[in-house]
Amino acid sequence: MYKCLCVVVVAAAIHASPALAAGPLQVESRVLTEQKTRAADGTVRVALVPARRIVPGDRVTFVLAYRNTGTQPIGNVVLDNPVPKGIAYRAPAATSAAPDLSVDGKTYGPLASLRVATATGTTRAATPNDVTHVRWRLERPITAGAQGQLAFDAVLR
Amino acid sequence: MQAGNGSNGGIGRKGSRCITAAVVLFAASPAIAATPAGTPIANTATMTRTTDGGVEALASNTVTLTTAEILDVTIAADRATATARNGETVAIGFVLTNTGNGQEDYLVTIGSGTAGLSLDRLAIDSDGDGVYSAATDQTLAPGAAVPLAPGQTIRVFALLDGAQVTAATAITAVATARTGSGAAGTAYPNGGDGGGDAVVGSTGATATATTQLALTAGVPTLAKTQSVLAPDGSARAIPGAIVTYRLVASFPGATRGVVIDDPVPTGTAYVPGSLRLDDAVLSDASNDDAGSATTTAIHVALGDVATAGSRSIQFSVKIQ
Repeated sequence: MYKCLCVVVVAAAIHASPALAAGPLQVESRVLTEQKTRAADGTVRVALVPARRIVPGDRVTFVLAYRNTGTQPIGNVVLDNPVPKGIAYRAPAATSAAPDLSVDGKTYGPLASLRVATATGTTRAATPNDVTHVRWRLERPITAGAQGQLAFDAVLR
Repeated sequence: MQAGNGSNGGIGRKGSRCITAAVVLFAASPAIAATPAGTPIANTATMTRTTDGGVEALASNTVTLTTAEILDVTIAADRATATARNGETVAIGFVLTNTGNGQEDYLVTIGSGTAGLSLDRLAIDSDGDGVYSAATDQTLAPGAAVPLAPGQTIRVFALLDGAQVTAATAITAVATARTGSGAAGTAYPNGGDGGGDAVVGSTGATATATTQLALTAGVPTLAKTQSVLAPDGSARAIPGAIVTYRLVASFPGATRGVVIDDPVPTGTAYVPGSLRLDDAVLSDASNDDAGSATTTAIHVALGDVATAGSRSIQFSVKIQ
């Protein structure tokens, strides 16, 4: 049988601090990590579970879950996740839209469009390690009652 | 993944779903300093909504993780082989490196394949010159730990008395993280720096290095002493006084073809019949026993010495 990557995200509240609610929009941040379990038949199940213990080199997935609890569509929504110190951006999560990236928090775009200054006064192409901000612009309004998730993969430096 | 309907969402919720996509492979990370154990990683996202009235910003909850401590260690022997010499302290260097990301104490034990070899003496190469010096290098008490910061390297010396080494043997140093060791991934809750957890890394938090210790015979020594007996009973070196020389040859191990010659000093005359080997009289003539003497020199052929030990030779001269 083919290897099956099963992604399990439990909807129950994981963190003690609930998502802040301001009006009908809610956004919750979660940090997940892969947990591998080997089944009796030898297959390895990979589940994404809330990160509890991470060490340098561990892969983590930053998830932003948003919801419109109101009765009206909400448009022009942007989600911005500054990359925490110690975390290196890697890629959009497997099922997430690709975010715009920034190496300075001001200019956003695809990684290939970003450059960083070097010590010698020139610039070089940015690498995932240079990314300081991850941002998604939602192209369409969030309809009433809708929810969604955006996520990116990273690694602990 | 964009919003737009009531059930969108990139990652499955309330259940599981199988996807055939491969796990995203991360590009090999360049060498970057590991985040120190205990470092908090806090993440807060911001959602902004632009309306006619301006920009509304909404902060998410903050997720804070504490970086766990990786327990890792490497050890390398300075040399693959070393030699022990009787009467000298042998210092065998091992370089210890904390390859984890936390401040960690390492227990260092030294072992050998030879029973009875006392190996509990350790010293730190305090001055970092790579050479053991009793004056400057700090001796470690048995059971003491070596504290190392992340990435720090230190050299420890296993000290042993060369006299105890009677055969070639392997000297093995084992360094183990004090917090814990074992299979990679073994966790020690709250055992890490900053109150976080500690996790055994790929090295198992223990490492071993070995130096093969060979035995060298060392150098034979010859010690000469003299005593004087004057005709008047004193020890004055006056004409007529008898000077008795004693030569002690020490062999740290088997030694082949040993010959000892000593000239009769100018101004003295050999006392016939005074040559002795291990207090047994040797004749002055050659070809009958191990020794011979002439008016100018004594000569003792010991031949092959089989084991460590010493032989003494004695002869007398008279001051002219």
